[in-house]
Amino acid sequence: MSLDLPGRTALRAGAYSMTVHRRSAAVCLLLLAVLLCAATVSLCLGDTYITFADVVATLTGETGYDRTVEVLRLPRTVLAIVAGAALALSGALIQSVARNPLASPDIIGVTAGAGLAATFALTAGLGYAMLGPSALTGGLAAAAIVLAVGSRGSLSAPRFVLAGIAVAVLLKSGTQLLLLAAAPIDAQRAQIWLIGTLAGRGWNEAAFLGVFLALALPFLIWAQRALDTSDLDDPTATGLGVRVTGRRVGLAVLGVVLASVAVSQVGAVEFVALAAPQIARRLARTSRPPLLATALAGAVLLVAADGLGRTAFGDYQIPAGVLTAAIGGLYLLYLLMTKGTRNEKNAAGRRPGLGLRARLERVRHL
Amino acid sequence: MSACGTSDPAAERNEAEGETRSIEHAMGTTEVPVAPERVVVLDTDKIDTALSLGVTPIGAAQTDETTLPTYLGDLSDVTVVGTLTSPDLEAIEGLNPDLILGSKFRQEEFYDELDAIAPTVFTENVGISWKENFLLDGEAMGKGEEAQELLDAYETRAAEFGASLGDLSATEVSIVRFMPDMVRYYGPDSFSGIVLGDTGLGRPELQVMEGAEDRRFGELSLEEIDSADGDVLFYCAYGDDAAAQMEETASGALWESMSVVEAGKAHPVDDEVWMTGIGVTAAGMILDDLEQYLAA
Repeated sequence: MSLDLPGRTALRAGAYSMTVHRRSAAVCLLLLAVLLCAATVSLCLGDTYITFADVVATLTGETGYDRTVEVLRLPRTVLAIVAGAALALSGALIQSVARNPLASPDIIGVTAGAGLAATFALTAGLGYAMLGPSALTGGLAAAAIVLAVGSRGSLSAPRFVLAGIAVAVLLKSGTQLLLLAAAPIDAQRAQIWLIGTLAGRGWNEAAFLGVFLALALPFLIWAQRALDTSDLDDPTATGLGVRVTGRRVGLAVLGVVLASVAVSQVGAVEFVALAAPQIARRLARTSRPPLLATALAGAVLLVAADGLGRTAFGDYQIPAGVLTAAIGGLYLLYLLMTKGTRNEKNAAGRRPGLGLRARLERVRHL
Repeated sequence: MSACGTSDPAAERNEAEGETRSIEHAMGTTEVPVAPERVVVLDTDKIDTALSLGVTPIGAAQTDETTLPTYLGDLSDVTVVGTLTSPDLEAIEGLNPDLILGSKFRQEEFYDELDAIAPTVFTENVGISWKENFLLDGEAMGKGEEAQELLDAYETRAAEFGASLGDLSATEVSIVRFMPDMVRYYGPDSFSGIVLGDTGLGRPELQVMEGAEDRRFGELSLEEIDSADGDVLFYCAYGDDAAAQMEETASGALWESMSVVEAGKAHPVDDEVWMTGIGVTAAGMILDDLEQYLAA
């Protein structure tokens, strides 16, 4: 049966078919181009300016810039791409499950759990090698508590968000206590971690995150499909026979695991997870964040923030986490003030035209 | 890609740069050039160490609150390469160093990148083990013997000064430092505390820190600043904000109620020397201060 889905094109290969949201696809291409530009600029700029031609020559052969590009800039840039993507994806998943654009790992306790564990590791002198594993454990433990509390009965969206906020506040006060009791140098290192930075990090962290993202890919493809039904209101979805709670828990688990893994490698970089999905959603004009575009937007944000922090402030190296908030916040404000109203007007105008019957049909075919 | 972390930068360097020596340090064993000429130092103690041994570093990291120390003379040829806790790797790379000195305590996460730039030697700590650090850093710069001689000379001078005081060696010396958001007294395991210990001078009971696990320093509240009393008091401030706080406190009634202040034996000293110096040159200058204010 052929069904015309608004804004979508069907792709078929033998027995398999899928639909592609045309505007999302275009936005992905655009974001990919922006990401390539940002990454290239970040490889060119630094204490020494290296021309684009020399960067290409260095990546493919040997020039005098091997150390600068391949040891100092490339690993950091690659890490920014994978970490930004992972954070953004986690934000998209959690926001979709909670049906609340404010629900990101920073708000619902994952980052706070990782932060408490990392602060403990740094102030208790566990050593740098234990920092990543501690943060990962802390983030997952916090997420487990949030999910356990939030999913009693069914995982209702407000309950999940409230549980997350309560856990986050508790954990943050624990972090403050540790910081106050710590030796100043340890507290300072912990503070830098809590802001989030890519300084001193490189291939090891990038490889860890890259492998993890590759392993998560099948789940992410499943998630993009599952999101389409989880976005319905509870009675509608249940009425259609969708196991709402199971799916939502699955999506939430994927989201918090992604966030914990990303945060364990680069520190509590804020706002990427909150802003990237909303930026992607508004660019693509979809009702929920498109995952691929979200990942690309997150990567762009973190690459830009790290590049700026490295180069724009003279002798001072500003941690990426300071600037993700600044850049992401400004851009999100811009979108809200310009594109937002028009988008919502359009959506509001279209909805009455799409009858219940058509909506049910849509759901069945996604 | 050749720089994916699998290649061994040390091995590559050996072929390129000829003769090296092995130095064992906090991060393992590193091959360093026999006579390094372009040294980058990432902490204040190592600036003192290098200059004490006649090596002017080409680059140095500075503290978050202050600039490069002034007590070591003209450092205008030394390039600033970021701060102690976030060194600017690209600036270091641009200087093309042949030896980098830092500490595991402050810069552990940067070790791999630093070692890819140049042979990097880390001390475990800063401060508490300053004499061992001085010898290790001296050894790394190919000046192990000179370092040992300078350290011996300092220790002899400290002991002789202590002996020359006679009865005065029972004098209780108090040390107070104003920080941006707190005031500290310094115990026997701090740099200046160790120097006082080498002279045999006494300390106020609070500042002996008997039984404490960490005997470097403790915190004083401004409301009990008079507990810093002693026979002689040396005080200093870290950065401009703290200096303003020190100014205000030192003109207050509580401060002036201390017997040491009434006796005119409270002396402001240089924070760079007493606190962040942490090397033989700074230690010698602390002895200068002690001679000036105690021997009278």
